[in-house]
Amino acid sequence: MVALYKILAIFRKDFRDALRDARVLVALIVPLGIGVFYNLTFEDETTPEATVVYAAAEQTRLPEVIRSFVGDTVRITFEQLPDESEVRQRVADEDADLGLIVPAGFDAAVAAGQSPELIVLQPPSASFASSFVAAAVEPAVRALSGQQPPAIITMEQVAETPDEATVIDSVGLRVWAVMAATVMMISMIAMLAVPIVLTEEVEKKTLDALILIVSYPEVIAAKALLGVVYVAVMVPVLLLITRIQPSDSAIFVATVVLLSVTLLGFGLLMGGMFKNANQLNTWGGVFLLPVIAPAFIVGLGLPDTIDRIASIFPTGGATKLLLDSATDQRLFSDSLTSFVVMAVWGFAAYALLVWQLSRRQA
Amino acid sequence: MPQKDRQEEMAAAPVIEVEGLVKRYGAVQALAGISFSVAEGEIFGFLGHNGAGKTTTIRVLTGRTKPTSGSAKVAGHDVVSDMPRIKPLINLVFEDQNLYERLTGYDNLILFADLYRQPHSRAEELLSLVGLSDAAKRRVKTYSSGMKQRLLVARALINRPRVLFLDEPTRGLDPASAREIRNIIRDMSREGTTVFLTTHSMEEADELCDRVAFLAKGRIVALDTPRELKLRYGQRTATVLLRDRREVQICLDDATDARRLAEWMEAGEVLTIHSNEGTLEDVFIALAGQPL
Repeated sequence: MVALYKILAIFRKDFRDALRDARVLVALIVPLGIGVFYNLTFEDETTPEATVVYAAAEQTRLPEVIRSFVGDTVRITFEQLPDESEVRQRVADEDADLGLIVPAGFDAAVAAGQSPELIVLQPPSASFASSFVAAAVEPAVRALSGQQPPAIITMEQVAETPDEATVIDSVGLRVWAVMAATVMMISMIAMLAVPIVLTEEVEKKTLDALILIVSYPEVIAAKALLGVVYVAVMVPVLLLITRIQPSDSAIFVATVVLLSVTLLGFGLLMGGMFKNANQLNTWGGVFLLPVIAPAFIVGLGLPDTIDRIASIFPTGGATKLLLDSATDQRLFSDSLTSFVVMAVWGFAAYALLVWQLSRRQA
Repeated sequence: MPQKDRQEEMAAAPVIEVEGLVKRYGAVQALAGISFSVAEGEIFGFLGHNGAGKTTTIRVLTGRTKPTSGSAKVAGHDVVSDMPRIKPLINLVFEDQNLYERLTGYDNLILFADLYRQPHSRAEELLSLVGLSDAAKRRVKTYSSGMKQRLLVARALINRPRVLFLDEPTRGLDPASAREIRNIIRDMSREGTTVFLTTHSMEEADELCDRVAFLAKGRIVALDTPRELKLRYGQRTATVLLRDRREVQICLDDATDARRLAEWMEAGEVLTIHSNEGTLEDVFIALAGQPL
């Protein structure tokens, strides 16, 4: 018979006590720090950008019309400069992706069919965005003259073939890094912080005092609850700091919960294997490395065999699901398999834990 | 309470009953079929060398290990099949100072007050009882060994146990701290708590215990009141100091020595007489072959 009040009493003690343990704090803060570091270091904007500088003696609608032709394909920023020489200098210095020299009375002259001269300046090494905007200039001028375009041309930048494309190309380095850091955080809480708390109970023999009034399953449940609460606090903190909001919250939450429960099973199993917390802190890395590594491997376009091996780890499957949930895109086609992989590992962990507990009780 | 009355009461109400208890760890036999009973309110001493089986007996009686064979009951409940009913009725002062050192003394007690469903005021009450009220909000790692031991005792009393097990409760303590612990044990017993005490200190056992059992190699080799054991196994001799400063050993069962003593008494030669009643340690050596 498991008593909830006993589980909560132990949990409250652990929550206060464990946060004073430097080893537990490290397990909580390191993945948070990594997530924040990646967040500050990398941009995840995948839309090409172009800065267009121009000089115009009079007011012109040309930038506005060019923007309408470019649409969302290139994020365009117009900057008006005082004279032609400055425009030429900025383009020559490659400080701008395109330069326009718009003569006086350009809009009226175009509308009157007078064919005024418009100078378009491209930098020495033109980017895709520069070429794209340059190509939009002619149809924009035609539109200014009142001509109907003979066709609406939509340009798309074709994605790489699936074999070559990586999840980073699709979601951006920042989102990928934060999702991988989320998996790392859950792993370190479940397989380092919580086992340290449990092992310390055995090492300091405080477990003996608890066992006088509670059962082993109640102690285990309290430690699992501690892990779940740490995850429930730390993962939102990570998302909040990195300003990442999953598109599919249901998948995100389900993945975080299932991964936490699964890894906590292994963490609690580890907690019963080591004689003291320092030993666990030292050797825990040996167990953590293969657990965390798949999060930084799946979907990166590595050879199929490596990707498949990474995917059979609960963290590999969880990373796929988290990446899928982070964006509107469906990056991986095996969501169900990923859930099943986590569930199977979880079942194995808890079966072993029950076996370990029954041996301890005997 | 007169010892006779107390023994009669004990015989009437056993709160611990052990019968043919055997515990094996692989090839090692820790307990080789021990039997004893402890009465309600009794202070029962369990003495023996390291590895004699004292702690194993406590582990069995507190449900932390299962016996290989035999039976044991605490408060009428079987330790194997009915442990959940025993747990709220017992508590234990461990040999190790197994406290949460990063928590305060108060927080340590609050955890166990919650587990035993006791009001938090019980923690304050016990801190006061063991003289730790002023240190209640200090982290336990700043406590001295004596303070930690007193906190362990307080923790063990949190649920007002019917049976209190104490495993070497004064080991490593200075004489003053040890005396404080012994006073608390005595008070608990007066209030009706049954005390099961293991100790290496023969003086402590002699001073506190109503009955003691000597354990050697997993077997009980003697069980009785300290006085009976000392009488049974001690020497019946006395040391007589005479006016001429001679010390003479006389045997109380010897008729010649009795006459010599009477003559010295009549002649006013005797300065002092000290009976050589054996100590518990003498008894233990006689039974187990070597001192504790």
